[in-house]
Amino acid sequence: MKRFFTPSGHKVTTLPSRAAFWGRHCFGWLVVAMLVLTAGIPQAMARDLVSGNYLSSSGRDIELRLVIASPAPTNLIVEQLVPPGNIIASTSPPARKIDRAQGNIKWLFRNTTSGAISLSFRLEEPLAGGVAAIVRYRSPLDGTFREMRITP
Amino acid sequence: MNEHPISGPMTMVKVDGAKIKYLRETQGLTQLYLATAVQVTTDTISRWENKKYPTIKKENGLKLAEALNVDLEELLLPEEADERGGASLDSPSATTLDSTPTSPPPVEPGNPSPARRKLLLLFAGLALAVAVPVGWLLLGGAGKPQLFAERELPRHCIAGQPFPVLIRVSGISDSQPMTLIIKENLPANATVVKISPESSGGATKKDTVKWLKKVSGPTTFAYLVTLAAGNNDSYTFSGTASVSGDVTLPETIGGNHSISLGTHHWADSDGDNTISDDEILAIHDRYRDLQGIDIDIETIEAIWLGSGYSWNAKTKKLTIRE
Repeated sequence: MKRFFTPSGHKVTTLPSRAAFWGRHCFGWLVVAMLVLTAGIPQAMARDLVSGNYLSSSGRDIELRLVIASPAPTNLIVEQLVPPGNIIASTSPPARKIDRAQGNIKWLFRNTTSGAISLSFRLEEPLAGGVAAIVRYRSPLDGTFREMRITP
Repeated sequence: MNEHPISGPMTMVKVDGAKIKYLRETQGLTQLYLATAVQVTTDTISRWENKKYPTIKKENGLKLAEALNVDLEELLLPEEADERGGASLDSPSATTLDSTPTSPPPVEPGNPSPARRKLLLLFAGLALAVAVPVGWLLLGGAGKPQLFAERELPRHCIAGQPFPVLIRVSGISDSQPMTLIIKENLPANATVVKISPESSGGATKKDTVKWLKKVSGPTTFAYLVTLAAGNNDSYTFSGTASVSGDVTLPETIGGNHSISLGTHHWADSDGDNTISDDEILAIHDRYRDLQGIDIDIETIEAIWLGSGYSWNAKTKKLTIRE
């Protein structure tokens, strides 16, 4: 909107042209609409699809519980780190690899579905030191490789 | 649909119907195969074959020639082929541009100034640039269905060791099956070990893999192939996809098209002589639905669980380190 005075001293107010109106307002609304529509996408893509916690992290039996959200990653690798010196007696479910010298247990879960998974291992002696687990998967949302660490 | 003997001399060509039929029958191809390749009906193919010298669109002639594995010239009448040589030099008469300088039109009082008009145009352009994709997304991409065909080819492989090639076709709805032709041209030193799904039509030669398949929903075509040691460092795969019906499909198959020969396993995508967690997850994600193609997952998993591998070119064996 513009205001100016004529030579005779009258105040004149002009309205913006229709095109200018649409140019200003419509574009603004479109930008707002775009922001609203796309606001949730990055958060949805970035959220962790797997969470987990230790049900037991001391003694001879150590148990880790994972919760897989939907959409579930198709395949999942869980690496359990045990301080060297602890002797691993058994794992459930059976691990793909047990590196007793390094204190490393690896599971590979294929064709996973959403829900909970329980992983446990038994030591010959009560655990000396702390444990941690690393979960790795590829996001079904964007195909990116994800890695997360779980500690008691 | 294609027999309008109008337009310019470059648009229409006269082909030999009997020759089309002869070439099709000697290669064991069906009329449906040709119809899908050219994107016309089987009735049209039948009409072309049974008419002595049908006039068809040059664009269709080229597709027809490609489907029959010949040059277009071979399908043309002799005089037509000769004329084509001369006609290709023809060009529409050039439009003379008026080079007289013109003064800018006077700005009418009350109208927006040129600068303002430019700004409005800019706004309108930006609004369109935003509104069109948003509208397209909201309406689910209205209009013709868009199909995509993409090749997944490893970056490298070892000579003589089989590796998988996938062609993923997406955009076909589950409720509307379509007949699809996929044609893959392989390097001369390639040998196909296995194809999946088995082709129900068309033909497969040493350097070509073809599928003619009625499909619904996203579909993966795959083959296992080996490359013999050659003089080149890298080799090229190329392919085309065509489909029947009112859909849009980019003719050339997208995705990776080049692979190099070396000493790294095809699943070791970064070529560091190990298979990492990321790589094994990618392999399982990518090939889990593959039917009938054995990618030797046992060896790949053994490399992943080990601490590395090396390729012995003399013994042609892979050694996996524990």
